Amino acid sequence: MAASLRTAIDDARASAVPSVGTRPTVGVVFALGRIEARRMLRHPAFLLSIAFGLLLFRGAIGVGGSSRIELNVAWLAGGVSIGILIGALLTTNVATMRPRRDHLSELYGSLPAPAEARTAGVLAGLLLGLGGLAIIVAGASWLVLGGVDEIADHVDLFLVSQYVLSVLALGSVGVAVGRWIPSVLGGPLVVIAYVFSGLIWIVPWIAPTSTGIDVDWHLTYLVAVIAGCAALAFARDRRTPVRFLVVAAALGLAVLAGVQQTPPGGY
Amino acid sequence: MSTPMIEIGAVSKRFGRTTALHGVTFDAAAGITGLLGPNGAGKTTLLRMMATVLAPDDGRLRLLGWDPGVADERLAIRRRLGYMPQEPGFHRAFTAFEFVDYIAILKEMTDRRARHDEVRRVLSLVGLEGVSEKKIKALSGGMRRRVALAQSLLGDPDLLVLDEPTAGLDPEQRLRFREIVSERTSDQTVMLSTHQTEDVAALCQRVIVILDGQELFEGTPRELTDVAEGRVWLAGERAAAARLSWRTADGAHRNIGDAPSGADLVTPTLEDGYLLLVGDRAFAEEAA
Repeated sequence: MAASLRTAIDDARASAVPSVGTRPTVGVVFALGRIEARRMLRHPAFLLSIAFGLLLFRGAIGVGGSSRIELNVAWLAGGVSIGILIGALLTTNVATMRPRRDHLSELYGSLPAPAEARTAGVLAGLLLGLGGLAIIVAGASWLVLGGVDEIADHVDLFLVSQYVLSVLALGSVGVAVGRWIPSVLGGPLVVIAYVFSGLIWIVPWIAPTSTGIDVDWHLTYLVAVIAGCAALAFARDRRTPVRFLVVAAALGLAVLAGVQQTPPGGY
Repeated sequence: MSTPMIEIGAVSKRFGRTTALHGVTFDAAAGITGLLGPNGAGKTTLLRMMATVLAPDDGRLRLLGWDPGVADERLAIRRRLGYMPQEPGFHRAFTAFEFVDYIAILKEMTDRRARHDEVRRVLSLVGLEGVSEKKIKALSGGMRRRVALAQSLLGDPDLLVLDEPTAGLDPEQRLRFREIVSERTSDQTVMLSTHQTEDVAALCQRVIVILDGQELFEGTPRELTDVAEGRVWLAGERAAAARLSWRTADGAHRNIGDAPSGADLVTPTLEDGYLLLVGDRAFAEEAA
């Protein structure tokens, strides 16, 4: 067992593609980001996520057939928002694993752009595509639903901000998991573990101000998760001590902010 | 020989207990060089080194005057390299245009309009302009190989490394491939691995034969053909002295080996020379 593992590691080392040791250029990352954004928004997993979100939210708020236009708008906004969150995880995960799944590592290895360019391209696609869509959906929902009595107390700029950051955070989780776990099940399993371990209730990603959550620490928490996951993904491309240091610092900050954001006595 | 664009000195590579290359040494100047050898000879390992995706364990390797073992020089090589792997992968949900465009970005072509013109140019070169908007999963195997060839031609690279580029292509496509490769300018370098000796005879200025991870022959296609000079003959049946023999369409047996006196000698082909060379080595090993 140990000998075969050692042989496998030796073979992997012998076959490893030498990196070029440079950073990707902004032009390359932006051009890749445009392509990735378009592909994420058109990806079947994303469209199915939106459909699933709408279905889920319809059951959750029970507005089926309601004649109140505000409730139908709330259903649409909530359903699409949930869909974007799920879609962010799934599509970034699939996009990150694409070169490996399609056996393109060797060809990509012969090109001048380093592996980090593709990781950065997916992150740029997340920002330009799903991040942009999240801003539009959250902003429009805020404008429309801010005037609805039952919801107005919960919808504010903080909710909009943390929603957009949550989309980016879930997308970053998808990228990090995709770089380290070569399976399409990796991303969903991480989220299932997050939900069923109870962590979701201790450190929620989206919580209105009315819960007593510390706004600044919560936004810091989300930004730290995004930075930590992005750094973790880049650390897979090239393992340097600095990158792992950034991962440790970001995740350390996420833990600290996660603890600090919780209101006294919990939610 | 003029200035070598590829310099390989005593290069070795091992994968676990298997030695894929054992002290291979040769130089290749600008022009088209063919790499011949049976399956498992080490051709793909050698080409992967020339594509800078595999590092040798021992020996000296220089490409276009640079050392791929040094990160900065490796980057300089990659900026002037076109590579078509033996089993090219594809993003099947991409169209042919999208896929080649994606590779073009990774080749640092960031100006969108110029990049798209270049993508259209290479797709047109390989005769795929009519299907460029079709998804790759809808293309035939031959068309996919042409997509792989198209991406390798992006940016008109100084060094083109092609691993069995004509496998799976029909005769017309192979002729088109020869046209494309032969139109390379005299200061560009093409390293071509193939099982098709006709391609080598038609295209290459130099040929290298690899067997069991070692270089067996280096010379011109004419010199490889000459290996079989006086050793190919036709007879009514398989000759006892023949190392290889097969029945041709007109019923005669084409024999290759040490011809008996009075044999009806025929003009050898490059394939005869190659088969005899590889066969001689195999016989020698068998005898040993």
